[in-house]
Amino acid sequence: MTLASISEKLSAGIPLSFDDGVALFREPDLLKLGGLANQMREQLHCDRTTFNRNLHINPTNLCVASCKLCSFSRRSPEQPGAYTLSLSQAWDKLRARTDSGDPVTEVHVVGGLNANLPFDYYVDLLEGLKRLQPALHIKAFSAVEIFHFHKLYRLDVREVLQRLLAAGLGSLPGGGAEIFAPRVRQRICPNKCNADEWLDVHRTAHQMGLRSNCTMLYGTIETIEERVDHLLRLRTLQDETRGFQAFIPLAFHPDNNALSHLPPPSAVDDLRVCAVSRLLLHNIPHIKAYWISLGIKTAQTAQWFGADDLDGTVQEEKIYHLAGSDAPQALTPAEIIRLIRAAGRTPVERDTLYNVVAQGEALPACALPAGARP
Amino acid sequence: MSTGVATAASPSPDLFALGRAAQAACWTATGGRGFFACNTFIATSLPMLTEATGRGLRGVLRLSVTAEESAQQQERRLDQLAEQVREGLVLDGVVPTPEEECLGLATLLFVARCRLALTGVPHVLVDLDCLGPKLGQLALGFGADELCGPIVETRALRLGDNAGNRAITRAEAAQLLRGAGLRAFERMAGGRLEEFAP
Repeated sequence: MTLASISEKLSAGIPLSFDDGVALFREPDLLKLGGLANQMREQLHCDRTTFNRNLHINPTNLCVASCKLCSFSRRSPEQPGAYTLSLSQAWDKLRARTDSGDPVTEVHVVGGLNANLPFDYYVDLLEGLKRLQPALHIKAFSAVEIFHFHKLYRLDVREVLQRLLAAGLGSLPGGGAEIFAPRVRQRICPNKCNADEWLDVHRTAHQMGLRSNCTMLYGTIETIEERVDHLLRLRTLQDETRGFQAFIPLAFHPDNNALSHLPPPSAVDDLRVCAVSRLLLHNIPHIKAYWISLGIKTAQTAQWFGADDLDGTVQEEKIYHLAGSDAPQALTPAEIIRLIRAAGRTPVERDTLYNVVAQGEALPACALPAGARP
Repeated sequence: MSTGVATAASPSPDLFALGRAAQAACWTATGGRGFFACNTFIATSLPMLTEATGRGLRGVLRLSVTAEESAQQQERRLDQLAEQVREGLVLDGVVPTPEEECLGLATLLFVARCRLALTGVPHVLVDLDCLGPKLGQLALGFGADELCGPIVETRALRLGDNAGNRAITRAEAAQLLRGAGLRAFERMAGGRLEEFAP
């Protein structure tokens, strides 16, 4: 398997195989690999890089899962740093953002698997956010949380989703997929739902007309083959439902967790995962360089290695920062636009469903003019 | 020196062409070897460099880069330095150092330009303290061949107060070099090089 033969397959529109995926991960020439991914990225999205204005709310970090990879969760309310937001505290986060004159189009809500909260807490949370800003898109609850609600409250996954939809849910985030291989899952997150359960939640959501994202956590103990298997399982579900909007490669961060003896993945690995996922996941429209996970500099570079989206302005991200991310807590739209333009790309503000919100002169001014050199 | 790519007039620089050219030049210069050192003296000006080399120290010079400088301005600056090297300036390495809000791509492109312009300078170093291990390793694919900065023998786990410690161990430095496709050599006292066993 050579890069040339893989390139021919891509030109002919033939989906890449498992062996192709492994060969791409083993390709020593990162720039050649990047060039190939960039070709596909530019065929799909030209030179556009999208972003949105969003706010993260993590309602609780109390969690029954005890995943080794996590720096965010706390087992009991007595542990230092444990918290559960009251509903008004959670709503105030959105209110503060609206009052600041920098409103968001999306709220991203994810949290721990809290065994002590009633289901109504989550329903009320969404309803309150919608009351504050009716046009807001709420992207909330990873498949792992939805599955936890299903088990804890003894409701079908479909019923959980129906009740959240009625409360204002707009789409699902892609977190919690980690790595599908049971060998890895057993060691890094044994108490989370398994791969089939994770995929089934997304399948159900897609069947109900919801869109979602998907992710892969890399850089712990997984093999290249396990990464490829993970990506291909996502691709297979996408063939079936067409419900995934974006794939987000998530780099493992080792600070403050039970895997802190492991080194973080290198930038070469970050860009390689980004490029290979662009090439393998031909049926998933967007590859997101999540700057909180990659760091600003690597995320900016990833726009030339397959990524066409930089996520959003974020604000108050907790999960990665507790694991050692040195990215800022938030970026302003002008800062994101600058990052994109400085990489020689054209910024486009989008909403959660990738509809264009603003582009060209409608975007806020930033220090670096369009067309300036990186 | 003109690389013919990534000029101010070009909003979409041919990152890959410049990177490949710089990587090829790096391999020609080093034979596919990458280096790291736990202690590297870096001069911040030409007089300091001259004084350092006069006292028998290795000649390594920090070269700043800002987002405001155009590709042509960078190339002119590097050409002048290359000329000084041809005229006898003792310079064993340069350390491209981003200043102010200089982002990832701008840094990588400057690293590549350093490698391509300074043919008489054997090494392009990455200061891990400035670039961090991630961008630092990427720079190894754009013409850099040596890591310097906080490289230590052992580091406590990144927990509590030690979370966010940017130091990397010697083994991690070697791993970064190998991950970029280079054979890892440690620069020992007196300039001796020792291959770092995996």
